[in-house]
Amino acid sequence: MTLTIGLRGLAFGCRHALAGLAMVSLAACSGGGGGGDDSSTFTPPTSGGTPTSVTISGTITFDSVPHNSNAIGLNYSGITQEPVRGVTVQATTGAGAVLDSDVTDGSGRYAVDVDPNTNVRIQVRSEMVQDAAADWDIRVLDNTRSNALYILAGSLTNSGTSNSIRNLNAASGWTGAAYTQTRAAGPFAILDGIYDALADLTAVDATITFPDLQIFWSVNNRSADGDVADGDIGTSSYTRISGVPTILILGDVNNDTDEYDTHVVVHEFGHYFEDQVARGDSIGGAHSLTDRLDPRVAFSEGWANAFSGMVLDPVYRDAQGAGQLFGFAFSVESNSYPNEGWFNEGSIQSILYDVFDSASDGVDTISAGLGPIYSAWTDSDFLNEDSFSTVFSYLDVLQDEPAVSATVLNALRAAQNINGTGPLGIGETNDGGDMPNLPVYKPITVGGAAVEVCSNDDNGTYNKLGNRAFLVVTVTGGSRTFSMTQTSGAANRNPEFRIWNNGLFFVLPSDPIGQPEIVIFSPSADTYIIEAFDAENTEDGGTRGDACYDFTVN
Amino acid sequence: MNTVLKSSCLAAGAVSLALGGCAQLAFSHATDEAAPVKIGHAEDLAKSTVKSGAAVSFRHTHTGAGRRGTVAFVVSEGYDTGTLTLTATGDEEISVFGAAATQTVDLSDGAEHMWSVDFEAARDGVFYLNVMAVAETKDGIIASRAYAARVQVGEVAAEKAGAGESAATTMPSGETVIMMEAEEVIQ
Repeated sequence: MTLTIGLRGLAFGCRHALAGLAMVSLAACSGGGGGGDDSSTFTPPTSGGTPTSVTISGTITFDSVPHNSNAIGLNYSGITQEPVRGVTVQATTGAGAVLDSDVTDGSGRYAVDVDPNTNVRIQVRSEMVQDAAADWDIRVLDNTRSNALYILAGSLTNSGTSNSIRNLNAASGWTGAAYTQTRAAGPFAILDGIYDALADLTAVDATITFPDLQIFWSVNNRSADGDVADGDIGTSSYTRISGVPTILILGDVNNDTDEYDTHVVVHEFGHYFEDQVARGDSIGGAHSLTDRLDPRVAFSEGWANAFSGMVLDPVYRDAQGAGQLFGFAFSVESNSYPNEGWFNEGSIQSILYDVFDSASDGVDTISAGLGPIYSAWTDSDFLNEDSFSTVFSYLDVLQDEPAVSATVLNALRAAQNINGTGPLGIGETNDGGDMPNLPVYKPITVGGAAVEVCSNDDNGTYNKLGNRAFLVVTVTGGSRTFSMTQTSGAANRNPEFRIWNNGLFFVLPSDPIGQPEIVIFSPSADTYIIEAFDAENTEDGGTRGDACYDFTVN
Repeated sequence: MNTVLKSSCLAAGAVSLALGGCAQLAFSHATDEAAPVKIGHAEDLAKSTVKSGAAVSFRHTHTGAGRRGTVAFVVSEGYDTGTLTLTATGDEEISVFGAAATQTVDLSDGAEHMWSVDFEAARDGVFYLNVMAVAETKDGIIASRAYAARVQVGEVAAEKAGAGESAATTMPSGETVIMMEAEEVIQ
């Protein structure tokens, strides 16, 4: 008997070549054993008798649902079967005991060796795990069913006495007008985007370490606030749950389900990257392209949008609504947004994507790729900067990358009406429509004059520009009194502040509403960032309003 | 004392609300000198970093007698101008009715908008009304955001999510998994 099969998948399962290889090698791992074509002629053993083992190989795929050509909504008539890459495949007994395992290559191929004449099931785990120079452990779990891992399971079939092929596909569950079957493709569609992100990042750093990541996806995950275990996740997001980095992905059909909105998945992975691999000081919260945002949030969201464009394509697509036929899209290549500036995520994604991409447009003549962008994210100067992670602190490092022309970078930022320089954005002239927003960081000296800080709700609450003011102070040690006293605005405002040092904040006592906020403590000699705000503008249920305060350090 | 303070705050989730509460456990008055401790990264006190979309958020309450009722939404948005189209839909178990199920809001008319939608449920239970908000600015930028409004009809216990689906399986290793049947071709 002669079988024509994929030689790479059969003869050189990825498990044999995995150690020491980064994800970028996965696509080639099965060819690394001997090269050759994708298919060849394989002749099973003919020496007579029963072989000591047989190889089961094949390809794992999932139903991929594309977006419509206008980028709005999903196109179920365009479903294709795409390879499931980089995931764990197991051969198991009927009772679930694992006989052998492999990791699919860049074409979704696997090979496992089992005893002949044994009942074997091939199953695919919704996980990507690699313990090598670059390592990661990423799993898609159902938060509404005990955080269970998804497993795509084949049949329990006898392995026979010769090598065989078992191809498995994870179906979408869409049967023409609705999801009426198990949505088995969902977890693997999510991992498909993650695979691309891992591949791009390991291409620029072959020894990158990703802390464990759990991705919660369920068909019950809806846009409601409540208990994550019930599926009420609010929306797709990145957070930490009990300290564990967690991406939450919607799965609520006819309202908002994101497993095929790969830009959304990669966007959230971008947040995970900044939080766990680099540095991210975002305070999170709702945001849009047109918002004037807290600069930490604007930078984080602009990065996440741009990153999805770098990994996938520049058109961010998010399908929503009945039948998944609606939604919205935007291009991170666009250079024009309302409210441009250091507080606008559109401005920031425009700059970052222009640095990355090879297309020249406007003042963009940079084609630096992901390398310098990654290097800046992980530069010790950026990681250890006193100030927050904002477009200022990031560009201050990025401009020193050899592949990045500081002249062109300055042109890009000027085109977005970002004028400040250095990590503190000194000299910034774009006040976002409200003068108290400048300077970005207000210098204050120990024993010096009071510095006015204001908190307003002009652009919204919690994470919008003007809600919070930043001060920068250098102390030389000793006991210091930090004081924030209201000078204008309605009565009974609630001044609060946090003191930050290299991205970490101190637990501080809090005075009651309507009273000055006064804290006495003895910081070590260093530079500190003070984040001053009116809690009425930052906490749920607060009485919104505008007020200003005198801040002193003595 | 500092150790206790740190543990308490972290155990409380260390959200911003907890900061004040935790701090007051440890300090009798803000002006008492103390040695604050660092408790962590911005993420420790942040809300989640949510996906892009329209700058719209929702709150809702619902009232009613029997299986008919009204959901009252408070729609908060962060736009100066443009329009916001709100659409509420139900499903086979809870339906919406009346012209108010779709409403267009002038975004220049304040930052909060009230919106009421009538519904009728087929039975007692916990349901979700699907809401879609599509914002279009005067610059032609369109973004949307979904919301699911939880509505409980009658005195019923909330159904556990996933109750109608296949149960999770415990493997010999102790791991909990969900088995999904593959489309398989064996050659």
